Amino acid sequence: MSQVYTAKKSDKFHLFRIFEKYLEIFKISYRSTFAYILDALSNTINYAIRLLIFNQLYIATYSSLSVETIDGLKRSEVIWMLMFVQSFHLSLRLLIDIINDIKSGQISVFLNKPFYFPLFQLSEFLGQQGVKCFINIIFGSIITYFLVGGFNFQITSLLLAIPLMIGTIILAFVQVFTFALISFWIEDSSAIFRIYSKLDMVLGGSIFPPSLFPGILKNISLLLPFANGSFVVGRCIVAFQKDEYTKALILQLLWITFFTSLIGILYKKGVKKLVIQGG
Amino acid sequence: MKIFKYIDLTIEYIKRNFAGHMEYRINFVMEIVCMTIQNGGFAAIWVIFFSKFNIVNDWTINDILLLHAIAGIYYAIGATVAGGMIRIGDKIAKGEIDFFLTLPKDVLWHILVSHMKPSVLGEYIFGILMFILSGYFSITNTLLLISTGILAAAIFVSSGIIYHSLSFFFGKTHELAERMIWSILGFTLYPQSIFQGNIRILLYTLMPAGFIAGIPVELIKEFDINKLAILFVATLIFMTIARIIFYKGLKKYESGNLINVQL
Repeated sequence: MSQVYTAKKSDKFHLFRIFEKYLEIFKISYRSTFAYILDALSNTINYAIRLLIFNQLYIATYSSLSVETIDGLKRSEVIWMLMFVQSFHLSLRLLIDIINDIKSGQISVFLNKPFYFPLFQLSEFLGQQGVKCFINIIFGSIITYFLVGGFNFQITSLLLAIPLMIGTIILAFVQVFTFALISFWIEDSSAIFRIYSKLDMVLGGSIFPPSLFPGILKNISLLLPFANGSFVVGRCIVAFQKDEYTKALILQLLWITFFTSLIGILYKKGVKKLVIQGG
Repeated sequence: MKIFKYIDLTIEYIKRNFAGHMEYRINFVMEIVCMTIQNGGFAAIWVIFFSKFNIVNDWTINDILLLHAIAGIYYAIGATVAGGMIRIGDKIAKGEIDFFLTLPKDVLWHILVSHMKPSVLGEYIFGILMFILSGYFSITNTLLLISTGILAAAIFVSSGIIYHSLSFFFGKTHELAERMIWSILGFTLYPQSIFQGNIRILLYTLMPAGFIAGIPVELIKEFDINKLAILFVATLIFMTIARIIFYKGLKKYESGNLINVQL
């Protein structure tokens, strides 16, 4: 009995150690992102300009139609939603870094370390993107408040949006990482990813929210991974609806599971293909 | 004449830049195809947008396609003839201007023609496609598209030179310069009629999207010699300012004693 008890205890301890290891990577990543906070802040110039343009676009749109709301959304709510959508994005930098690691053979340095490479990258990504999204949302909120004023803010909506925010960052990671792994087979997968990220821009609502799309396009786009990322976060905070929220949580989970399975298969096959030429 | 020598040399540089990219043929073709599809994605947003709203401040889907045609063409011309603009700030920060200082031709011209992105052909293809789809396609409008495209490209490149030249005075500011250039590009991709009030001052000074995209669209929609003259004068002013700032800055340039090989 005592042997069994010891084994169980050590298993728990082992799991804790594994978790602790990735938590440390996460901490290092967010600390280093905070160390370059000025660089992250300078990103807000483009961000502020985009919000300014969106505001002008929707002022013109609402006044051209002479309406107060479109599909139940006020202009200010659309701008707030776009602010949240713009705060999260698929990271091209992560993709290029991993592609370069694979092409140069640098990935071998990570492979013989005591961690699972995809989880190492996820911990790092969460650390980086978590900080960037936080900064974006803080500054974006200030800019948006000055542009369009407030909206009917509910603290419960914000709290309910937290799992969706984490899900959005993880979903962004698994999508980017899937494309990065394709580099085991083709020389540079960034060109294909750029097309994919454009699809994300069109159907993910970075300029025009999918809930305002016409007809069948709206129904299709709301099922795809693009609209189940940052858009659902914005939608949840700005115009919370219980049924939409539950649907978004389920879809996000399904898409994360789909891409994670794909990563599992691609990584297993890709690593076997890897040839390191000494040096 | 000196100017013709520079034109000949520029054409030779463009040929060699293309030849260089053709060495990696598959990658080159992939870049072109991807760039065309990528730009198409942005146009697709507007197709969806205008299928919902039809008209926004007197702009229709045809106008936005025309805007994207101009954006594709001016960017393509700028990137073909002066693709090195995006590298100026980085070269200043790294002390890599030395190489160009030793050459007999104009330093700024040499930096500009020294680089060309492989995806530039995709921009031309996209611009031409958008122009045909916009419904404004005709011989006269094609000539207008080319001529305003050249002037817009000159203003765009000049703005880029001005922002990148800040690195001469304030150190590593090339990332800021890139962000400013992206912001100008951003402004040129939206219906110009949405920008009202004080923001228009910005669009004709610090972020000259009004000259780069606004006036060319207006000229093709309804030709006005006065507007063409304004665009021409603005081009000369931007080019002159860019040249003055670059050469003022160059006097402050300190060599990094960097030994490098330019291929």
